[in-house]
Amino acid sequence: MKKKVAAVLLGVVMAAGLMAGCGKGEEQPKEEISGTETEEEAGGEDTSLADIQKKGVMTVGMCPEYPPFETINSSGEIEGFDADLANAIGEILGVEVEFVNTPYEGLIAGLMNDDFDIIMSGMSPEEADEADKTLNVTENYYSVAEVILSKDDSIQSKKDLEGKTVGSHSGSTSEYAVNSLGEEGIKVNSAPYNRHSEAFADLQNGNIDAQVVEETWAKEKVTDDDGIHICEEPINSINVAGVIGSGRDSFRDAFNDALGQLKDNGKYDEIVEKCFS
Amino acid sequence: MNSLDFSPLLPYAGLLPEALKITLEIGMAGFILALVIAVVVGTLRSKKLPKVLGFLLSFYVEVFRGTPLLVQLFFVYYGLPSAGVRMEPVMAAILTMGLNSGSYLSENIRASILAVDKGQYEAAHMLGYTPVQTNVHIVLPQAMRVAIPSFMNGFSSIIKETSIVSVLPVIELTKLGNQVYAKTYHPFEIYILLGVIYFCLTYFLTFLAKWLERRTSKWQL
Repeated sequence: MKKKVAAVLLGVVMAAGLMAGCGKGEEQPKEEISGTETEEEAGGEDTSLADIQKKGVMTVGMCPEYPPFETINSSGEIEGFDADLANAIGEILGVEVEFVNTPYEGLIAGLMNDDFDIIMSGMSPEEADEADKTLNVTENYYSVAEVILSKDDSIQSKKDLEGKTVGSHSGSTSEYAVNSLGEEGIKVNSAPYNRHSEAFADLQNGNIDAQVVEETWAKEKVTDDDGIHICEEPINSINVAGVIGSGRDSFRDAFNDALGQLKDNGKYDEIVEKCFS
Repeated sequence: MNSLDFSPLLPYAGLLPEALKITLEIGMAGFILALVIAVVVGTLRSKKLPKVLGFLLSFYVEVFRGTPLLVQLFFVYYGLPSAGVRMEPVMAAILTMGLNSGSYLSENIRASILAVDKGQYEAAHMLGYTPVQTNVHIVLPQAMRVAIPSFMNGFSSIIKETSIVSVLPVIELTKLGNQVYAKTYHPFEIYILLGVIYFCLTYFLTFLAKWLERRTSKWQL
């Protein structure tokens, strides 16, 4: 998700290496978390799956600000499609599942720092690749269309967006979809926001002509009486997958196997039915 | 926007105390750390220092004053692990807020110390006070009194700035607001509520500041 964020982050991480020596050695508290994670890089054997099974817990990073994939409920727990799917996969792998409530812009950074084993947060393989090509991506577990929302009845398809101001979630698949319009020769003014909700608020206030957003989100938020319509024709279709650290192939393969089992035994369809209908 | 309706937020009220606790925890611990840093760095920087130490301290102050808190938080929590320094997000938040605010407050302390009359040093010297005793017993108490209003200012700022910590995986007030917002889609109600809570916290502080000022000014002519 995040090309800009990833670029900034990479810069930050590199700067960290340079500056850690001089900046602030004195005040660092001694309470560093002892690294429990084992590194299997440097040509060692891939023990990623065994490590998780030994720990007995699969930790999943997600940003619960994205219905219906993940949101918090009134007791503060994370629920939604990604959460249900993660739980089902954990069950097959024989491990507990723990969610790590992380801001979207911190997901890739958190994964690289071993804050969690996998990202399941409505992230697309393209977004993961953009951040770092060496990251492992699971098989796609969902596919969602990027649709156009507008108050303006003259906007019914992507061609009608010519010259309009179009909002999206910065660094996410929706922003990619807006940018892809330019490649198709449709010139739009892109207005990126931190979250879909903010673009949606601005759309309601009439500050932007249209918003591009995933169909699942649109269906959850757009109501009959807010005067906003969802255009029939989507801009494109985006896949959603889990993202795993570099070199952790055995964990990725086990995840894919488990996903396959869920699809075969009908559990996957149950979860989709529950969350997206 | 339609009329305000706070009722959809009610089910989430139970999450508020924990988030409030974390905000206060980061704010207060950050402020205490900032105070310690400010007194030490500010006092040192008001004196003639060996070149290297002077350079290091001004480097610290300039870097933390001259870069956005958001960048510092991201750097400390997400960047430092690649240099082998890992800490809990709350710890990273407290450390960063303390260092950030400490850099500002240290300048206030320095200015307050420089405002203490030279005669005070001379009198202390006459009475046989060592330089350290002079600073601890004579100069700092006078300087602190002058610095109190700006300290309270710093405390209010720190409480409000904890909202920026929402870029880390910490469920403080603003983050909770964002997540309930994503779920319920009632941004105005949520942010009004957040505003009221932050205002109450900082307004209480202004009373505390006035009380402290009155107390510490008791002997002033």
